[in-house]
Amino acid sequence: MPWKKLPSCILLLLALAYPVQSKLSSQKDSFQEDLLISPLKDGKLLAHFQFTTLVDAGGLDEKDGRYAHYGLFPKSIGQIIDHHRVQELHLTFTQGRWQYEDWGYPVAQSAGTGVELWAWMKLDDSIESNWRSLTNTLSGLFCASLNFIDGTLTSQPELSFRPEGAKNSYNHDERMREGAEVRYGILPHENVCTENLTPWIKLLPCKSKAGIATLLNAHKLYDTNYHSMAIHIRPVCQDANCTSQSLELVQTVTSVLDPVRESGRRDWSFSSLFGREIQSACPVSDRSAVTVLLPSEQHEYQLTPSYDTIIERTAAQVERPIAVYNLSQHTEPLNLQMTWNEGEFSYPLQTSKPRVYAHKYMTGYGHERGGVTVNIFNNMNESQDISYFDSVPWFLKLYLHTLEVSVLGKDHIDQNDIVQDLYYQPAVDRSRPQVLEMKLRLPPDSVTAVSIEFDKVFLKYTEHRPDANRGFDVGPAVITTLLPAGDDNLASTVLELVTNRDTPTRQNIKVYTEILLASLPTPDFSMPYNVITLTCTVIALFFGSIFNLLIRGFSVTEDEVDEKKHENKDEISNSS
Amino acid sequence: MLLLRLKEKFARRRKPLKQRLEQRRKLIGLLRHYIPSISILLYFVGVIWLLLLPYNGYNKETYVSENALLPAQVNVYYSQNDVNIANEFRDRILEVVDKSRESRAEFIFKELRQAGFHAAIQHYTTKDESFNEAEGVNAFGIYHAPRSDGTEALLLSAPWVSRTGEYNVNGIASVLSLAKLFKRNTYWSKDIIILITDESVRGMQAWLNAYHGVDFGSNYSSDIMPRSGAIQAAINMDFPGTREYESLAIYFEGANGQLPNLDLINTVITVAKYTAQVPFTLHDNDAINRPQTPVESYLASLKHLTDTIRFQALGHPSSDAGLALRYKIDAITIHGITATGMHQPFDFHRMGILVESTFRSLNNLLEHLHQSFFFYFLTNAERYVSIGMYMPPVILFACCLVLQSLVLWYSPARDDNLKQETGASLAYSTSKKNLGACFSVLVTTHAAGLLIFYIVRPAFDFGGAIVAPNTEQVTIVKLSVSCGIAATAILMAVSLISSKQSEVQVMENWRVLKSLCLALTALIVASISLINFSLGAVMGLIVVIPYSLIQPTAKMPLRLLQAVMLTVLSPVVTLYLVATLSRSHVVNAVTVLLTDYEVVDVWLLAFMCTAYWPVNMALYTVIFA
Amino acid sequence: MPDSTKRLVIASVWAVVLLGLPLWWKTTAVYRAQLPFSQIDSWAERKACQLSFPSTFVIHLASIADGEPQAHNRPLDFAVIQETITSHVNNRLASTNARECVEFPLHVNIQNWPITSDMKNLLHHIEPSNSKQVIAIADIEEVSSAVITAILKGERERVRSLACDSELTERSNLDGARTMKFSPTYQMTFSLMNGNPDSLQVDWDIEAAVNTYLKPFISEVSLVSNFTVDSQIQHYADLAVTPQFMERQKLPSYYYLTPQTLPHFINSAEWNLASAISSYPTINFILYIPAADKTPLRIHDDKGQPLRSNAFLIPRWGGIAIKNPPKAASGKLEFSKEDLKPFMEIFVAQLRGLIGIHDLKKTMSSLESSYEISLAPTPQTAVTVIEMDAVVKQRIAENVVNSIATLKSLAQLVMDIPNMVVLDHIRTEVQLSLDSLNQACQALQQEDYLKALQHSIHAIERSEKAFFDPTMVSMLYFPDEHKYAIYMPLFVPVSVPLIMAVIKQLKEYKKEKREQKVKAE
Repeated sequence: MPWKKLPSCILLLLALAYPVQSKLSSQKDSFQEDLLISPLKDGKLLAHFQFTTLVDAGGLDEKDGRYAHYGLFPKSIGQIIDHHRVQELHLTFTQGRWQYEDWGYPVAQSAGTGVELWAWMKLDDSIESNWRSLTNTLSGLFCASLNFIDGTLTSQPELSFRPEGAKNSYNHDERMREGAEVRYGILPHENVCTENLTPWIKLLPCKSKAGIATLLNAHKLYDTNYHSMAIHIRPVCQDANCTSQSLELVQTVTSVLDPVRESGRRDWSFSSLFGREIQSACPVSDRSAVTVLLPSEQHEYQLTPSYDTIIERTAAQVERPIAVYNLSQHTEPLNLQMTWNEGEFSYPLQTSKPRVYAHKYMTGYGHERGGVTVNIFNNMNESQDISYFDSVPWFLKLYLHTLEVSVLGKDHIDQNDIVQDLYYQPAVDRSRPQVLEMKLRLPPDSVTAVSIEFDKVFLKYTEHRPDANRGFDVGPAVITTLLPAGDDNLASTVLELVTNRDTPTRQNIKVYTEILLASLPTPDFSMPYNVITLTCTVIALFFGSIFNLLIRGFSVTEDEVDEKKHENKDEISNSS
Repeated sequence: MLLLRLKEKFARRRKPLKQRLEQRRKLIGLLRHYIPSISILLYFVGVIWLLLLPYNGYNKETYVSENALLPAQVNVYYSQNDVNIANEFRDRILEVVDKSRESRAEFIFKELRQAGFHAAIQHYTTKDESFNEAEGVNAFGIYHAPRSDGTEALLLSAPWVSRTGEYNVNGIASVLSLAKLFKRNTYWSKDIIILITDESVRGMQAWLNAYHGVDFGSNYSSDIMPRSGAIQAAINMDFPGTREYESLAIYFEGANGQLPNLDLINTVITVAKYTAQVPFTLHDNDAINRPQTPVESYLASLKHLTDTIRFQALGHPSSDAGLALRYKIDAITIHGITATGMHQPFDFHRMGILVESTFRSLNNLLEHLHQSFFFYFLTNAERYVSIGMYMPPVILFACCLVLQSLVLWYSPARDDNLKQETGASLAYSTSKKNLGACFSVLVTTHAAGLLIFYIVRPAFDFGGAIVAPNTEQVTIVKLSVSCGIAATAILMAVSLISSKQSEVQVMENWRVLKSLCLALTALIVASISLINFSLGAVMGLIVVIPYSLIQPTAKMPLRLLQAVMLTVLSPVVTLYLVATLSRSHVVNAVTVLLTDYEVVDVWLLAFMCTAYWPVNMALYTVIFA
Repeated sequence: MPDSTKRLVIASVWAVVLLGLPLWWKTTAVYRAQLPFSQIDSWAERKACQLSFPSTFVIHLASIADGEPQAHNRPLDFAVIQETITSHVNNRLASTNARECVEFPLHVNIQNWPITSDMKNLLHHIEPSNSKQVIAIADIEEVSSAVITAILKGERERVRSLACDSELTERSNLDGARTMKFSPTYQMTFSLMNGNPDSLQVDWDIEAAVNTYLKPFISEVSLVSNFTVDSQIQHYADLAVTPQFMERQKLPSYYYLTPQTLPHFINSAEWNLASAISSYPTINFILYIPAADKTPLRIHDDKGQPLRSNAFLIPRWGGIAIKNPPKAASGKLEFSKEDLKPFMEIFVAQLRGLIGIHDLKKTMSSLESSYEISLAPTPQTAVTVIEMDAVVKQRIAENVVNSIATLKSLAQLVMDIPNMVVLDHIRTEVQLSLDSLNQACQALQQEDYLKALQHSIHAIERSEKAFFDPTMVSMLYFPDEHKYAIYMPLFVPVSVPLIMAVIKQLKEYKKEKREQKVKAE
C-alpha cells in the first residue's frame, strides 16, 4: 500500500535532511481530495467535490515577505494573494439556484447565483487599488468578467462577512477588525461554463488526470440543476492555540444532478452521472476518499461495490449511515452504483423546510418607483439571531425611511424588538452601491418581512447595456446565522466528520436569496438622434415665436400721419 | 436725385395704411366667418378618416419584429401520450369542479406538486359584486428552470370559470398536461408559472397584486407565497366545457385601454397558423367563413375595430389577461369557440401544440418584448393600423375645437357698432375680459365633479348613515344624489355668471366661457387620446358638434333643445343609453363601472367625474347666461 | 413698445447667446493637455543631447626597478604611450559610417606599479567600475591597444547599432534576438516538471540551490535589473511533441528530440508557466523529468548527435534542462542542493545569454594566438566587471533609444487623432521621462554609468507608462461631427430671428439718424 508509506518516508527523509537543513518544496504541503454524495429529498443527487491543499504559512512571512517556492500549492494563486496582500479569499462561480426548501443547506456556504468574490485585504494604503487589480487578475485567470466588479458593485459589509480562517471571530468581533478589511462583490448575471472550469482544474496538483477530479466532466457537470465551483483561501491554525498557521486552499465543486429526469427512477452510477469512472487516487494526495451519505433505511437501496468503512450513526447529530471508499486502497477503477428498491419516483407533497431561509422579490409596478421585500422564515421554535446583508446598486435609490421590518401575521411584535443593529451606507451615484445590514432576532416560528422602497433612476443613454430592455440584475441578499448541526445541514456536518477535522458545535450558515431583475425606464434606442433633432427644432420654434413677440411693437397709427409723411416727402423732392 | 426718385417710387408702392388695415379686417372677418364651417369640416374629415382605417388600403400586414422569437420554428413534443394525460385530467377535474373552492385548489396543488412544481395555495380577500369582503382561493405552481438564475418567468394561467360562464374544464386540463410536459424538458431559460385562478377577474387581480407585493401585509398566505422573477409574458387559456372547438379567439385589450406588445399576438397567430393549424380570429367573431367581397371584409374589419374601441373606451379589460398589462407583462387570452359541427374541430392535441410552441418562442426572448408596437389597432388578426395612421383624426377634433375657441376669444363683444366708431375693426377685442366669473364657473363645476366622484365611489357609504342592504338602491341613491349635485352646481354657476349688470358683460362672458370650455375639451381629448386613444376618439366624436353649436339664444325652444342635448351628453344619461343599448339595467352598468374602478383600477369613473362632466355642466351656463 | 426696450430685449438675448456659446464650446470640447512636441522631436533627431560612452583604461606598468635586466633601463614616457595606445585603438575602431551619433571618448591612464610581495592580492584587486586592469608582459603599446580593441570592439558596435540605426538592425543581429527585452525587474521561475507521478514522484531543494548558486550572480547583475525568484513543481506534465525513438545495437536505446521540434517543447496549454502577476517579464527555467515510458530522453543537435548537456535555450523565454531519472529510481526522486548544481550551472549560463552578457573569454580567444594573455579569474559571481560594464552600456543605449522611440510614437498618435483625450498626468509623465533622458545623457558625459542607467530606466518606464495609459485608449470622446449634427437643428433656427432682429434694428437706427439729419437741415 504505497499511500501508507508516503507520509512515513517523508518523515524519514525529514529526519535525514534536517542536519543538512535541506527542505524540499512540497514536503510542507499536504493535499486531500474528497467526494461527498448524498441523495436529496426531491430525488435529486448532491455531488460535492472538495480538494484541500494545506501549506505551511511559515513560507508566507519570509524575509522579503514573499512565498517563493511552491510544491503542491498552485503558484498562480500564491502569487495573487502575495501580490495583492490578500489575507483570505473566497471566489464562487454558481449557475442555477440552490433550492433551500428542497435541499437543505449547501455544503459550500457561498451559493449566490452568478460570480461572487469576497476577500479580506490586509490593511494597506493601496488597498483599493489592490482590490481592483485583484479582480482584474482573477478575471484573467478564470476567464470570467470579474473585472466588472468595480466600485459600483463593491461593498464593505460591516456586520455580515467574517473571516473564516485563523482569525475567525464570529464570536468576538473586535479581533477580526485588526489588520484587514473585507471587500465583497457579486456579478449576478455571469454565466459559468467550461472556460471557467478548465483553469480551475489546472490548479489541482493532479489536474484531472488522476484521482477524484477525473469525474469533473464539463459536459455532464453543466447539464445539472445546480452547479457551483469555488475557491476558498484562508489561514488556519495548526494547533489549538494557533502558534503556527498554515495556508489552506479549498477548491470545491458542488452540483445537484437529477437522475429522475431521464429514467423517472433515482438510480445512479458514476458512469451515468459523469460518464466516467475513477481510475485511481491522485498519487500526491494524502487522502482521497468518496463518501456516500446513505438513506436511513437499509432495505431501500443497494450500493455496489461495498464500501470499505461505514460510520454508523457516529456523531450525535448524524442520523444516517455513511459509507466511505478509500480510493488509495482501490486498485481497480471505481464505478459507484446505487439502485433503489422502488418503481417510479413520486415527489413528496410537502417540502422539508430548513430552519432559516429567505425569499426576496420586487414589489410594485411602473417605471417610476418600486420596492423590494425579503421574507425571512424561521421554522425553529426558539428565536434566532441572524445578520442580514443587502447591497443595492445605486440606480435604485432606496429611501431609508421606508424601511420596514414586520413579523407577518404577528402585528403586536414591535419592530425594535427584532432589529438589534442597523448599518446603512447610502449610495454615491455611479461610484458606490447602497449597503443595508441588520442584525435581526427572528421570533420563534415566524416570517419576518424586511421591505424598503426605492425610486428608479433614469440612466444616461450610454449607461444602458446592449440588452437595455432586459433590465438590470440586482444581487442577492445574504443572511448569515449560526446553527447547530441538524437535518438540513447534514451534508456539511458529515464532510467535516469524514475529513476528520473537529466537527464544530455550531456551523456558520449563509442563505442567499434570489437575484432580481430591475426594469428601469428605457429610452427607445432605435432613433436617439431623431429624437434629439426633433426636440431641438421644437425648442427653436418656441424660442423664435416668443422672441418675435417680444420685439414686436404695437402702436395705433392714424391715417393723417401717413398723409403727412407723403407731404413732407414731396416737399423734400421740391426743395432739392 | 435718382435716389430720391427711387424713394418716391418706393413710397408710392406702399399702399396707405388705411387700405392695409381694411385688408386685414376683411381677412379676419372672412376667417371669423368661415372658421366655424372649417372646423366642422375638420370634424367630418376626422370622422371619415376613422371610417377609412378598416379599409385595407390604410392598414398593413402584421409581422414579427423581434428576431429572437422565431415563432413556429421548433418541433413540438406534445404527443398523443400528453393528450391521454389531458383526458385523464379532464375526467378528474369534472369530479372536483363542483366541489368547494378549497378542494378545487387542493386538487390543483396536489397535481402540480406531484409534477415536481413548487406549488402553493393563495387565499385572498376581494370585493364581491356588492363590494363586500369576499374570500377566494388561487392555486399555482412554479417550475424553477434548471441552471437558470430565475430572474425571468413565463405565466400560463387558466380560470376555473370561463368567459362563457361554464367551467373551463378543457383549459385547465390542457394546462396541467402542459405542466407535466414542461417539467420533462430542460431547455427552459425562464421559470414557468402555472396559475389556476378562482373566479376569473378577481382571482387574477388578487394573484397579480400578491405576486408584486401590492397591498402587502393584507393577507398572510399572499405574503409568503413562493415567487419567481419578472414575468415576461402570459398566456391565459380559456377553453370552456369538455367539447371540441372550431376556432381560436384572441382577446388582448387590457385595463384602461392598454395593449400587449404586438409581437405576442403575432407569435400566437403565426403558431396557430403554421404549427397548430387552427382557424383563429379576434374576439368572438366568426373565423370560419372568411369575408369574400371587399365590402364584407371592410365590414368585418370595422366590427373588429369597433369592438376594440369599445373595450378601450370603457377601459374594461376584454379578458383576465388584460389585467397583467399594468405590471409590464404582455398577456393575451386564447379562447376556444365551441364547435358548431360543420367544420373539423380541434381538441387537446392542437391546443397543446399551440401553447407549447408559443412558450418555446417566448423562452427564446433575450429582452422584454419591445421591438414591436404597443399602440395599434387590429382590423383583423393579421392586419394592423399603426399609431401614425390613427392618431390624426383625434388631433383634427382637437384642432376644430381650438379654432372655435380662439375665434370666440378674439371676437369683440359687439363688432357691428364697433366698426362705426373706429374706421377699422381690430383683429382682436381690446375690451377688458373679466375672466373671474368664467373661472369661478369652471371651478364650481369641477368641485361638483370631485364631490360626485367621492360620493359615487363604492368605498363611500354615506358615512355609514345608510347600511346597504342591496346595492341597487344604494346605486340609485348615489346616482340621484350626484345628479342633484350637478344641478345645484349648474344653478350656482348660472347665478355666478348672469349676476353681472351690463348686458355687454354677459355677452362677453358667454363667449369667454365657451371658448374656455372648448379649449378645455380640446385639451382633454388630445391628452387622453395619448394614453387611451379610443376614449379620446369617442369623446371627440360625440362631443365636438354639440359643444360647438351651444350658444345663448333668446328663443326658449332653442334653449331647451340645447339643454336637452347637453343632458343627453351628461354622463348619467350616456350611461343609461349605453345600458339600454346593451339591453341591461343602468344599475348594472354603474356596477360594472364601479367594479372596474374598485377591482381593476380602471379610471374611467374618475375621468367621467373630474374631466368630462364639469365641462358639460359649465356649458349649461352658456345657454342660460 | 418703445425702441429702447426693444433694443434692450435684443441686446440681452444676444448677451446670453454670446455668453453661452463659449461655455457650450468648453463643455463639449475634448480635453487635450499640451505635450512638449518640440523637445520630443529634438530628441528623436538626436539633437537634444550628444550621447557619449566614455571609457577609461588604467594600465598598471610594473616598474623595472627590481629584478629586471639592466638592458632596457630607460624611463618610460607614459604620456607618449597613452597617446599611441589611444590613437591605435581609435584607428582600429574608427566607425565606417560618416554620421556618428554616439561618441566613444577613450582615456588611457598608465600608472607605475611597484611590484610588491602581495602581488597576488593586487592581481585580484579590481578597481571600481569601467576601469580595466590587464596584466601583460609583451610590448606594452601593441598588446594593450590590441587588448583594449578586443574588449571595446564588440560593445562599441552593439551600442552604435542601437543608438544610431533603427531597431531593425538591433532585432536582426542574433544576440539581440536572444536577449530579453529590458525590464527593471525580471521574474525568474524554476519549474520541476514531472512527466508521470504515478511511477515516480519528484521533489527538489530548489531554495538552497538558488541561494547558493544563483544569488551571487543575481546580486551582481541587480544593478542593471532585479530578479525575483520562485519555483514550482508540476505533475502530469506531458510533452506536446512525441519524441522519436532511437534503436541502437548493444548500446541502450533512447528517445530523442530534434532541433526542429524543440520550439514546440513547451506545452503551454497544460503547464502552468504563465505568471498570474503579469507586471514583469518572466524568465522560465524548466527541469524536466520525462515519464518512465519516454526515458531516457535526449536532445539531438543539427548533426543528429545527442547533446552532452541535455539542455537547450529558448530565446527570450528561458531555458530547459532534461534529467532522465535513473532506472533504479522508484517511488521518489529528490534533488538535494548538490544534485542540482549541474543544472544550476546550465541555467546560469543560459541566464547570462538571456540578459545579454557576452562572454569575454570568447572575445579574448582571438588574441590568445598572438599574445599570451591571462585574464583575472572570474569571481564567484559568474560575471566579470568588464562583461557587466558592456551590459550596462548596452542597456543604457537601449533604454534611451527605446524611450525616445516611445515618446515619438506617442506624440505621433496624439497628433494624428485630434479627438483623443490627453489628460494632464500624461503630460507630466512625458515631461518627467524627457527630464530623466536629459539627466541620463549628462551622467554619461560625466562617465557616471550607474546614474545614467538609473535615469535611463526611469525614462523608459515613464514613457511607457504614458504610452500605455488606459485613458489614452478610451475613445469616449464627443466627436465634432456629432456635435454639429446634434446642435445644428437648434442653433440655425434660433440664430435666424436673432440676426434678422439685429439687422432690422440697425436699419431703423440708420433711418432715425437720417431723419434727424433731415430735421436738422
